[in-house]
Amino acid sequence: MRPRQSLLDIFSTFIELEADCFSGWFVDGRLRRSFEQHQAQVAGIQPSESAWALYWYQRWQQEPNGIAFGHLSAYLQEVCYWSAHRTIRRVGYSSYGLSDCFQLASMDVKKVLQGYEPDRGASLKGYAGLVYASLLRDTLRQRQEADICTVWTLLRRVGKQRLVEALRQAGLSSTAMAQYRLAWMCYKAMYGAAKVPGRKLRQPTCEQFAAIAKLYNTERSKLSEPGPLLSPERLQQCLIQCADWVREYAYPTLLSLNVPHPNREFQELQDDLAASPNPSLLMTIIEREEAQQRQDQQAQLNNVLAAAIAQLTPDNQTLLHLYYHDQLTQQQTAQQLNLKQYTVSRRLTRTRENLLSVVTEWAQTALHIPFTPDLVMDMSVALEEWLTVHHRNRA
Amino acid sequence: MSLAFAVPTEWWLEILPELQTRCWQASQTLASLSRTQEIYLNQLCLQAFLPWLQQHYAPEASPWPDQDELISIWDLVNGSAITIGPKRWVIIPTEDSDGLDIPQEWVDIPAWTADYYLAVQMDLEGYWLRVWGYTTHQHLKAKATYDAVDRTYCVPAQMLNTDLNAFWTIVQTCPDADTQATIAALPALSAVQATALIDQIGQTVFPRLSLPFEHWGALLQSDNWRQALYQKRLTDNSDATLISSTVTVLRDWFQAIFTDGWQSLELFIDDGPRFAFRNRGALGNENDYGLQRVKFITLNTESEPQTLALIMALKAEADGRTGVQVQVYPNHETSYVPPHLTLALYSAEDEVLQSIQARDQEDSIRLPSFKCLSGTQFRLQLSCSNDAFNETFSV
Repeated sequence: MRPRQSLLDIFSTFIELEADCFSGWFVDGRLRRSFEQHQAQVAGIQPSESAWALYWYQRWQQEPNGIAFGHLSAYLQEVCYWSAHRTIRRVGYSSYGLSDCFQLASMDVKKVLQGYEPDRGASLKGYAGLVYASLLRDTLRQRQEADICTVWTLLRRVGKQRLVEALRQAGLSSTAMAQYRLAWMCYKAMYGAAKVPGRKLRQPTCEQFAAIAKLYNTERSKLSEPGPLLSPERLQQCLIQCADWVREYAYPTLLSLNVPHPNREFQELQDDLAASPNPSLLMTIIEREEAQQRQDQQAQLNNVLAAAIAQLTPDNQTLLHLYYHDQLTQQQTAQQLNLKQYTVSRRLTRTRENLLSVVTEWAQTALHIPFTPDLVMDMSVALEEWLTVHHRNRA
Repeated sequence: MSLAFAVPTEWWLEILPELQTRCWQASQTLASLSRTQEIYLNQLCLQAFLPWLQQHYAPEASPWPDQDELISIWDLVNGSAITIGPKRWVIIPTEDSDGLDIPQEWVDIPAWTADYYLAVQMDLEGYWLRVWGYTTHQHLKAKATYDAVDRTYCVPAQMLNTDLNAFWTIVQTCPDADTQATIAALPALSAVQATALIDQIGQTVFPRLSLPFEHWGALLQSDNWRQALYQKRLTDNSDATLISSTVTVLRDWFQAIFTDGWQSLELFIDDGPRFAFRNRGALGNENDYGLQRVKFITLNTESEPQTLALIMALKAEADGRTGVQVQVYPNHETSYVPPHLTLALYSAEDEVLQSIQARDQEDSIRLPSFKCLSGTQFRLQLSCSNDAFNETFSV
């Protein structure tokens, strides 16, 4: 994938994929005009990429339906792409292509923006990377389950929250949802005992269905609308239907893959979005950025972390390199180093915790920020971004 | 296969197959009916996680209350507590990772509350366990959604903190961070009350959902009563007959405590003149039954499912007994109750005390009012040829 260079491109173009490969950058005319207009208003000043990102973020907060959302979506395209790419490489399934993952991630820009807190140290890109990675992992994990599990295993493994969401997405009334949910609770209560470790869950026998149905029929009196008696056969159908809905929920309707970029929906809906430039807002952002740079915080952080990594054992340095630079999975790393995966996992985790300790202490002493849970969490996000960039820039 | 998704910000550990088999075997004898899976999962979680935690992070970590007491807890509710110095963690094992569902017991029983709540996912086929998220008591009480159906505080995955590196650093560096919210004390139970409650729910499949939480919490927080309940369930459940877990306690109605389904009469009366006509001489008559609630019940009749309104009215009589009046009306769509609809009153020993059957074109049926002493149990049955609804009451 060819990364973008000019600010204009960064805030107005979207990735085009063809046959699961990067094929180019698609220009959104409206976004281009809007950004050009803004640039004209601040001609003479060169706001940095991060200043523009923060500017559009604040504009989005003021006007959630305005064009700022489009600029931010364009801005996050590379992060989106790399998250999808990394996930595919790590997970290694042939059934999930790059386009699939890319589309999944790019549907979540709103989620990223809603969760982002700019005053807490992480950049929007860094934060977005983490959110995309986590969302993709969850979706793929759920899909894997949906694909390979039998109805009876799926019903045992699905959590209550996902079941309830699946029922809701299927459009059930709250009465029906309560009834299906009770049927599922009774299934879990009566069928749990049958699970011997190492053996696959088979379909319940007739007697077992009868026992589950009997429990359901006695328990339904506690529902606000108890509904009819269920025969064992009807109960079995209800449970199978639940599993179907859970599977459907794992595959949210994706936009057509022929669409050159995933934000076409946004483009079609919004007509009058031109935002009038707000130069003073931009100036405030730039000034703050410059003040922070004068404090040289980023450079200090770089030194502190580089020193901390230099102090790690060579083995642990190798682990970080394989994970962050070579982008291997923990499993692949374990194979390469002839270790057990759990050992790799523990050592990577411990190493990261040590680095986080170092960074948090530095923030407290050098920047005089008190130790709070928020500080620690922010430092962890900053650490992740730093580790990624540091290893990408090395040979 | 899910190990492909492992990231350094989570805690991953392996589960030895021998430990898994041992725990499964133990659960076969330790658990009462329908709780084998839960005891298996909880015991396995604690016995895999605690030694690992002691070895790599906190040698002083210890289980709470202790391994034996925890078994009586797991028979009733999911989760274990671990004490580390002055702090307490609660670990909630599940097979899914959709979100964190924390049983109300660990949040609202004052002696049981913890500082941190950890989400633990266990893969029984893959032989691994991962700690993937955490939250605090304070955050739970403020932001989590309370689900009254299964009495849990629910935190969806997106709202959970998923950085365990940050978690460990916070635990070490911010010991004074606010983690607990204040909660109300639970009312005390007398020995007589406790014994009665234990008898009432001893044989139900979902005991933790059968009593108002104030009573249930009070029962559970006493080691003696909890053990008594556990022992009762172990011995009584050898014969797997199921009794409805819902015994509606009518004396609670005088304290304005109502179980699900028993709704205010205004919902039903809101129908203007039609109801006023039917109401003549029935509700609100000179006998002055002030406390009235309605429950909507759907039965499969010969033609199609029909919803009926079961109305119960209570009155405190001068001689200390409670007066009860029971009536059944059709729901607003139809004018008549189904023909041959039968309303019957059974004693605690299952003898028919009263029974009434609807003729053709009856607009309501009712039992003659009766009075009972406090503590009396009776059962109402509403039936037609295809279907029956039962509810047990305790005065």
